[in-house]
Amino acid sequence: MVGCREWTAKVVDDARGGMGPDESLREHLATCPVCAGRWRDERVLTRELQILNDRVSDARLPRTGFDAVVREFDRQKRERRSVRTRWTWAAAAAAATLVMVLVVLHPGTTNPASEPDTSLAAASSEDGFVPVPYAPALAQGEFVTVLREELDPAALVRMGLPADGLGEDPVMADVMVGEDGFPRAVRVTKDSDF
Amino acid sequence: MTAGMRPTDEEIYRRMRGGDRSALAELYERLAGRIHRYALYTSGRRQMAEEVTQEVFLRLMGSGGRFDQSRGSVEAYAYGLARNLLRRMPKTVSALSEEPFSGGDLLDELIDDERTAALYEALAELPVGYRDVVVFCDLEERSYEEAARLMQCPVGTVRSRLHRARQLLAAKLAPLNATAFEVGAR
Repeated sequence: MVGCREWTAKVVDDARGGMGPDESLREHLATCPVCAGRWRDERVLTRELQILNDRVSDARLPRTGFDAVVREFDRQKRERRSVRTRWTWAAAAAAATLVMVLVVLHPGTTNPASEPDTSLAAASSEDGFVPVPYAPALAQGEFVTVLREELDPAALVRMGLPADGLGEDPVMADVMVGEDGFPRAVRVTKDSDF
Repeated sequence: MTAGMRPTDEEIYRRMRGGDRSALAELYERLAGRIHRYALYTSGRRQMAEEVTQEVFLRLMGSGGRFDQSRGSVEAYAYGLARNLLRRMPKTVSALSEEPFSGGDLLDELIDDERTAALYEALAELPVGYRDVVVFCDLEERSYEEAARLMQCPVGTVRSRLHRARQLLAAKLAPLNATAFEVGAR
């Protein structure tokens, strides 16, 4: 025999379906006041929920909500783009700084701006000038001055220039200096040139 | 997506996250009405329902959107957002029953504004799991399977919760039924 507990699911399902009880349930309802009461409550509840559903279905979502969402969407998009741009600029600035640091530490080897130095080195092979190692790179268009000086070979060594075979006596040399007064290249001359 | 097939909510969501404005409009078109109704059923307040709907979309598209497709659909995620937002808002009272209802048969006569308000209150007092199942199955008329997907629980759980929830609602409304039947019998 099926108890009331087993009938409950059928009562709920039939009441939700909006149809009347089927034959077997109808027979049970006729003899069970508890299930008959539940049946009635379930049917009322189903109808009430339907009415509530109808009322809510009539409720329209205002257009202003969508407009606000789109505005926020556009704002976030702009912000993301702006952040991307800022990162690009920051990366570019960092790269530029790195290049400048390399130029300062390794002039003539890493900085494209050291091209005048390179040409100076090329000239040294023709004119006898030997570039001073690790000297600051000449700026593009910077003027140089050539000074003839008497140099101690030890001074040449201090500048990083080879002094082999020069002995210990001072030698005459042409010193190419930049606008800042720092030597950039040296050419040892013969006494006869003096 | 296969040509000619309707894109899934998840595909549209991904496009929207990629900055596609038309995808936002499409997703809104699909989900906003449902979320709005859910919020309306749950809160009974128009303004709150509108705010919740808007907030759900702001979160979906914002950086806080943590949707994980392996854990469910975009729709289920959106309902979850709405549920959490509603949970944090103050308890509600009915603001929908502004117009008197006029019905025909005895059942209709049982349902007036007072009853609509009582039903709202009864719904609001249900535990979230029970309330959701009533909203999904009885008010939105979804299948048990759909409700199970949205609630991320087995179909059997949906069925048992629905029966229990309806029993609780009926019990809360029973005193009103008795009064109405007495009035109707006169």
